[in-house]
Amino acid sequence: MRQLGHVPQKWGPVLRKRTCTGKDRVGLGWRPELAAGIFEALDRIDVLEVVADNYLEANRAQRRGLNLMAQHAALQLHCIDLGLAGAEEVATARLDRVARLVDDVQPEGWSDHLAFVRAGGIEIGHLAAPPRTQESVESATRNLRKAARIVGSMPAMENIATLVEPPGSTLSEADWISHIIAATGCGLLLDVHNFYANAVNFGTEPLSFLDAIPLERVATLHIAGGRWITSPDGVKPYLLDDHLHAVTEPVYALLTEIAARAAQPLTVILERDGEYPAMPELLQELDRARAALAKGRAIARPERADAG
Amino acid sequence: MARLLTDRAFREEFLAAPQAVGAREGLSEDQCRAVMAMPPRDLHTAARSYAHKRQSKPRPASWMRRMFGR
Repeated sequence: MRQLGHVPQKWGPVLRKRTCTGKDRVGLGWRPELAAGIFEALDRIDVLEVVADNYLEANRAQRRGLNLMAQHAALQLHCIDLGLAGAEEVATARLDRVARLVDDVQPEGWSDHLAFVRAGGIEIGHLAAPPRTQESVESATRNLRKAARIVGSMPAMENIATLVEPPGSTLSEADWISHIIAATGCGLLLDVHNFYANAVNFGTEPLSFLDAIPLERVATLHIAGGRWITSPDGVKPYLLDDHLHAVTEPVYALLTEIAARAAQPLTVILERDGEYPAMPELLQELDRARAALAKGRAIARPERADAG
Repeated sequence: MARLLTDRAFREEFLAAPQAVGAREGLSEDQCRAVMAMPPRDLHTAARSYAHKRQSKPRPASWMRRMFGR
């Protein structure tokens, strides 16, 4: 269990509650390793995203720390282990624990992934793409409705990166996502690096993906970096979404394109999961994301999506 | 699919004899064909990535940390 860093007394005065202002916002995924830097730079971080799974079994001190943070910063909860897009029914006990955390922390919103993480008693240990079919749309819809009923609100659902096209798919990724959104009314947490990596790895056009998804259902975006790997036989290159490297130029360019197309306010979260650079470097990435959004907003797009 | 991504021996067995293993595991002909259509290179690369992610996950907290938060 990761532990929330304690908030030293000296940071108390600089913490202040941030609320949605209707403007674009840029924030950071909360990681205990970054705690000190985050608290010192809260005036440049509009929102924090916390991995919910790290707090589902938190002790009282850890919950207290999380609640303190929620009182002073706009906070979103992000789940990684529910597997709501799996074929199997999501366990009520898992959702009960998320419900208790959401009730306790009162975040702006919560989210999960359009992925499965277990099947037939096998824990995959990470996010896997299910076959994109009408059947998986229906099972995801059942799980999302159950999640909304138990937790009290519908999660935003994130598109994932995959290195293998899910077998037996009859729908494109964009159509599959659109069907689930239409069936459930959930929001789309749009991970820019994920759809960029999928486009690169499977030879498709990232802008075509943007054309085909309901962009008006996007309120929050993820950005991250990755690295090139090769297949075990050393033949084929893949872009791996590892969250261990700086955000690259194509991701900022897509961010600009999204800001140009969307009418609604957007919140961009930078995800970094290790090999942490010094805080000024992460803040520079946030500044670049802000600049990319502003550049997009300055571009007129006749096909701009209506605010959702 | 979960087993293909996590069990190396099973993955190699399937790739060597997909129809026989698919039938043994209760896959329909269509399902078997769909899985066989996956490029083995993509499957091996994804499986290696999942294995790496599982290995790099932090170990469960000790009882002392759970009890005392340290």
